[in-house]
Amino acid sequence: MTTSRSTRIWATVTFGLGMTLAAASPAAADPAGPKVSTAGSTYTLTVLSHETKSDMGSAGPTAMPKPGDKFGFADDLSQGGVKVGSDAVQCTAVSGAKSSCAATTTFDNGTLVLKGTTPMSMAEEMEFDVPIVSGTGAYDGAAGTMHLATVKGTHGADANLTFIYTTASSLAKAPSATAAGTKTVAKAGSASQVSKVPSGGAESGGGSTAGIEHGWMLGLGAVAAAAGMGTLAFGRRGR
Amino acid sequence: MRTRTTVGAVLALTGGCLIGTGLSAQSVAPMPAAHVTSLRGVTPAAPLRPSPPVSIDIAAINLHAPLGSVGLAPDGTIGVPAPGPDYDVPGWYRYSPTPGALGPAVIIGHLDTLHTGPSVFFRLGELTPGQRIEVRRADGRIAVFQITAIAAYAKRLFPTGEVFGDLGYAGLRLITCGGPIEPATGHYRDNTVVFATLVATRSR
Repeated sequence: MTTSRSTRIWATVTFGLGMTLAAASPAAADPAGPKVSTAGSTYTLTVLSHETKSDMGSAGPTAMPKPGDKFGFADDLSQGGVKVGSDAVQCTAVSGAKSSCAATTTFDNGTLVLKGTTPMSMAEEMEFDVPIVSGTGAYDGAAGTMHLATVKGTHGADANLTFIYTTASSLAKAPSATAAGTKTVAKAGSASQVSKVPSGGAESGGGSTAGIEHGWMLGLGAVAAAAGMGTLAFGRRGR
Repeated sequence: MRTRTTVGAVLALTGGCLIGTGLSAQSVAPMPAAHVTSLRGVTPAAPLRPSPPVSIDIAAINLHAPLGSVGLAPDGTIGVPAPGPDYDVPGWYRYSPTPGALGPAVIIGHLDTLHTGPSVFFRLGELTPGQRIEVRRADGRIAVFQITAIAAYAKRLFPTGEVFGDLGYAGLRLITCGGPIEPATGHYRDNTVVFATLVATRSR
């Protein structure tokens, strides 16, 4: 139980600290770095993180950190079961529900640095985004976002991490903005700046305003009006 | 006899008031009349480097909301904010550029809830070209967009290329539901889409 509590807190703050692990030398990592998909100037890198170390600091392993408490974690990162890197995270709790974190993610071909405010909770499942603020090596000038989604049933020890970012070199190849650039560059149907193009429309409504929104009020009113009219009619007939 | 008449009159009046109040409180989602486009006076600003969005402000419809993020739904459509405490929080589509960066940043929000009335993008259909949308980002920059078009599309004819296609500037697309409910599916027939272009940036 102690382990699951601490790891769940960790999972909510994995990417927010900044400290490179001494043990960041992937045993079986590809020297070319992790597999990355490219769409236009945007890269997408997806890994599974698994906690290898945690230090809950003064809060201890069983309590939520208080504002000002510092704590940190480290993880191995893998793709298809093969370790491709590691990360080290350091956080400072800023409230009962948020912490300010910085992380350095180390791959064989460079590092990604993340920094931002992350939620902090004991929830089993969490999803949130953390800004990517810089990088080195193959990730020089990286900027973008990392999405973290904990893996169900692991008590926060495992999480799927999706890094979506540009680099200095990828931006250099991108088309530049022009005053005349108000038309779509790509032909309809093609898109590379959006790395995964959704199909069809979106189900973004519940329907509560499409029908009779205040049916109880209308129904009650109809009953009251009918009763009142009936009473009046009955009174007239009785005269 | 007078008492019965008085009771009847009061009941009838109360009923009338309830019906009137119920009808006047009915929310009616505004819809764009047609595909409205205006590029007049729109000069795109230079795109910013990527940084996740934090919040969105649209003064014209008094909308001020934090932003979450959404991904793809299992059926391949764009994800939507899930039921729960964040249902009314619009979501940035995390596979689109971050607002202010080169390309079409996409933000989706619900039109209404299942039972309790309007949601965060209920008034999106009121917007008109020329109005401004501001998105605050994690890097402290505020991306200011000018609306260039607003349109309603049947979902089955959703213009994927127009909404998600590559751009030579930093764009923004706001998406919500619209139109009538289709009895066969129980879902709204249309999507309302607001198209906007980055025209300025500033620091917080």
